Amino acid sequence: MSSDDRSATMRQAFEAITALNGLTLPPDRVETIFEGFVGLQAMTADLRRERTAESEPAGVFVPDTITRGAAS
Amino acid sequence: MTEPLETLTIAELGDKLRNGSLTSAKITEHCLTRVADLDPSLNAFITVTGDRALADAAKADRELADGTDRGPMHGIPYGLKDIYDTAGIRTTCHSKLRQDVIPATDSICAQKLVEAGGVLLGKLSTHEFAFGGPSFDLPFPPARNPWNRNHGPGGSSSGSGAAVAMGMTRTAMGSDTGGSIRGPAAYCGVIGIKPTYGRVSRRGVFPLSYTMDHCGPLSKTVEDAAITLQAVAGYDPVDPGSADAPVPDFRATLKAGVKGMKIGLLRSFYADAEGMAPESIKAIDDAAETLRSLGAIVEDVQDASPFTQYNSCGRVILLAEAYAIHEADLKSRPLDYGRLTMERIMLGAYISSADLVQAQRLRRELSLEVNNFLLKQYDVLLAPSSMSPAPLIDAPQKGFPLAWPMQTMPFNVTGNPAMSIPIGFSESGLPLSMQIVGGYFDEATVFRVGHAYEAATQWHARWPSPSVAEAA
Repeated sequence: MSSDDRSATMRQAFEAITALNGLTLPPDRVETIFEGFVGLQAMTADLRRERTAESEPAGVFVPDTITRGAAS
Repeated sequence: MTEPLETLTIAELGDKLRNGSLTSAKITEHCLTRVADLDPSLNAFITVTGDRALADAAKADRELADGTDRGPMHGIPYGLKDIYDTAGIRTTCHSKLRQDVIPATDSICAQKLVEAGGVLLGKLSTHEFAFGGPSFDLPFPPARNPWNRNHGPGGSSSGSGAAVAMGMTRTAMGSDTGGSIRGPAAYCGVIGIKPTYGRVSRRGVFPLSYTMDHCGPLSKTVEDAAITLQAVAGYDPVDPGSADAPVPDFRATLKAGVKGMKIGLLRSFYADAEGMAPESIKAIDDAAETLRSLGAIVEDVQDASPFTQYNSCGRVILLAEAYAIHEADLKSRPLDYGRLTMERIMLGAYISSADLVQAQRLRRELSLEVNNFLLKQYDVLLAPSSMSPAPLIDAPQKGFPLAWPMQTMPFNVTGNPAMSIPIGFSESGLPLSMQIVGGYFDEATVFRVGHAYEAATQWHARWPSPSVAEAA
């Protein structure tokens, strides 16, 4: 994909997610938020690597903290 | 001439309270006078609770006279970042959205400080919702740096840092999601400790990111910070992040020194980072040398994951959680937020569910690296608290701000206790600092190392000139 194509794709994705989330961005802030969106894509790519079940995140659902004592 | 009470530590003030040579009322009046004289040009306070403070002080004096001693914070003034709920006192989050909110109950920290006999001076400035700032489009002006008011005090616990640095209070509570205690502590030249995740209840503190938020103090000295943390630490079963862990006496080993301790310097995090000031690097090298001279073994850490992994992990989790908290208001009234806050939190809308889970998986891996690998080799780790001295308060913000290598972020990701401590001054007269990072629930060792360094260097004995504030 050429850089122009990639840039156009990023713009389309940004606009689609904005619309799907029901967000109305003030026109004078769209470019700043779009720049942030592009930066985020690089950042989220950095999160990915080969993993095993060992990397299950901790504490997603722990009964004690979900009930906070209310069930005991 | 008025006695410079601001130079006395909490322990020294406590001694005088107990031998009858000083009253809490006198300490409190001194603090309120400094607030009245100096804060108009520093904006550290959003709300000064003068009547409440004098009533708290009178009660503290009566109790001591009657033989009731609530401990080291008894009769000692403090401030609260204005995201801590206080019953009957507005809690604004420095935001138009909450400028008239008056909570019915105290946050747990506020409650514990009352129980400890503390004297509430007021509510302190923050970056809006502990995130966006410094901003000039909010209902209250941003706090300024006491060492040079043209510079920022850091954020988001900006008022807490400024108030402590200028001696308006010895101690104040802040909160830290990516560095919001340690950053202002660094820029203002005071102590700021982010305790272990779960050490201090977050109940009643407006959240920014559920799994990254930490409550802790900014204080003038390491001992002041230990005393304040002692008052607020402890298990809260209603805070889902709270840890049922014993709370030791944080001052028990304060003066044990560092002889024989192994200390790892996380040089790979910052040495080649864009924007890292050479004078900050030199100050950390000098601090490492000081610790060596005190008998510690200080080595460069090998084989830590790249800093960018920690930064990306923390930023993604923070943004996703912050957006979820603010989603309804961002959709219905986005222009009621300050511009910086709105533009930053809005980015959480663009994080996918897979991104968030990958970040959570990486978080476990990085936490294991710090605790099961690095802290198996070292008693504590050292890293910068900031990349440079405090920038100008109105400096334009360049590039993608989330990529800034905030050196504090890794320990919000891992949840380890981390303390910012002053380590010198820049050529321009602004404070320089570093972090001391310890193992889970081992704040005592962090304080121990910090106290040894502080005693050897005396950077904490310097004060900003009141004329800097008065002349503004």
